Amino acid sequence: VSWEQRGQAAFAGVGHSRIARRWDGSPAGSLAALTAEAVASALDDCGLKPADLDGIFCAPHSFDPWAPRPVPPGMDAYQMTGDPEDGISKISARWIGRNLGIAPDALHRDMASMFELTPAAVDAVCAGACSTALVVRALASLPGRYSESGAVSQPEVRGDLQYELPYGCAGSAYHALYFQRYLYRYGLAHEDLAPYAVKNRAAGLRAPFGYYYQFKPEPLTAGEYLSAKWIIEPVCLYDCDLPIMVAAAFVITTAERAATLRQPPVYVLGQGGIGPAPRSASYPYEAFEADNAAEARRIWSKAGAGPGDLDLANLYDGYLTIAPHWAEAFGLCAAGEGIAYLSTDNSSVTGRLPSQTCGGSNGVGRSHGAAHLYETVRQLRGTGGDRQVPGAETGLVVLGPPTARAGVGWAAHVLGRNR
Amino acid sequence: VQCCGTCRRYQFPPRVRCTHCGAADLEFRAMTGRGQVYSYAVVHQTRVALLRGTEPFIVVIVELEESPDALVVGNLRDVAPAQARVGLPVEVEFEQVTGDRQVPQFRLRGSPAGQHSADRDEGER
Repeated sequence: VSWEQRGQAAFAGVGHSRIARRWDGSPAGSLAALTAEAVASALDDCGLKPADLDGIFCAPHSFDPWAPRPVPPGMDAYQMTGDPEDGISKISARWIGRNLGIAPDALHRDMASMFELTPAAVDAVCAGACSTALVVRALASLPGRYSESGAVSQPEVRGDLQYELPYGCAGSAYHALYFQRYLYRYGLAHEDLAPYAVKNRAAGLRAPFGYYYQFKPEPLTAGEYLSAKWIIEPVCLYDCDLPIMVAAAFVITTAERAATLRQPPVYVLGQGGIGPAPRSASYPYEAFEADNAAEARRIWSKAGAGPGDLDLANLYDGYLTIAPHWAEAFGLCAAGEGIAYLSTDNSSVTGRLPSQTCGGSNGVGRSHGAAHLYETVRQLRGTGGDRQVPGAETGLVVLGPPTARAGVGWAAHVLGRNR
Repeated sequence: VQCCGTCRRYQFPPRVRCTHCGAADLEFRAMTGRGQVYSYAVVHQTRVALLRGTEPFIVVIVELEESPDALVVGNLRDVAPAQARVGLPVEVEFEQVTGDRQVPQFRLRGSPAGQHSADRDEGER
């Protein structure tokens, strides 16, 4: 596969907000305020102004609505789209356009999944639909139990969910079912994850932007991991990333323009992904594995590179069990050896092929892959701090779960310091 | 379970076209209801409001004996969580839910209908 767009677009700016475990109800700590902070930080990073942007890519996705709780006083200044959730439990492109001084005729794109945004922005820049795109990922963590609204709260269910929800096949169950099959396929057990879980938390504790670094600077022990409660076996508490309040922003522009800006460009050498796709819970794991490995080969081919050219990888791990799948699909290790690879020094910053350099979502808190992206961009700029992979020139970022379904797909970027 | 008259493959849930070959001549076939556990998960904390308080329970994907394409979701109702395994032989039973509705469920093959003892001696299987 040749990809004419190779190296045509670049990440020029990255930024993110303060983080918090949950919203405290204050306007200054709201998702609206965090989004404004993240966008300002990304613009400052590359030296652009809001008026320089002509595209906005957003996923106005929320796990739970704030309603029926009353909107706290003082939020009025942030809410200008007529949707009272916009700015509290989610952020839309329209919200960003209106509130942050971006021209009203900029391309506004609201997408279904957080994992589609950066590839779509790259495509738009390469196709000339816009020249400088802003991508925002903003995730709210509201007080109360997580993700118990919507279909799971209703007495009746329609569509494909009627074959799943009545059995309690919801939320983590999809991942538990596919991971169980993975363990069976390769003769592994859940406890084999413990060394990787411990190593991953240690990596997270070296990332100053992360939740554990800031709020819970303690290692995870193998004993704690192995005695953690099951959520849906074989997925335990420490296999689930921690929901936090966070907003992240990315500026993606043409290679030519990026070269004139404040930071060294990080070029998009290849990209791709699958879904969202109308698959059911009974789509077999072996088929996901084959589909994903085939798409990964296509992405390598577009980039004119392969795993042997890679200096580092940051693989999505919304569940800890996901990153091993991606290591295998993209050929960083053999099939069935993902857990072993991520457990050893082979994947450390000084190892043969560093992965999860900031500990991913399980090391810094949930950001739907935004942390994976800004960590990788900074590594390729050479500003990775004491996590810096020496001489890093080529990186892989995979965003999203392997089980592309309705509403959620996955995407990957091969990024490079050089075109 | 829906089966394609052109390529003869099964698919679940039902669709308007065959997801394997695109043909439109789909028909529903009666299955034996026998199969084996393809994968399972033990739910200790559910998000489904109507099931809250019934944990732990087992969600299974069952591979029906007619075809590896015939994968269906259900609960495995007469097996203790610690005894669940990939490959267990199971068979369908229909659970009466609200009104005249029934949903397919699964039990260990050969276990007596209507008995859902979670702690039955494994020896009798």
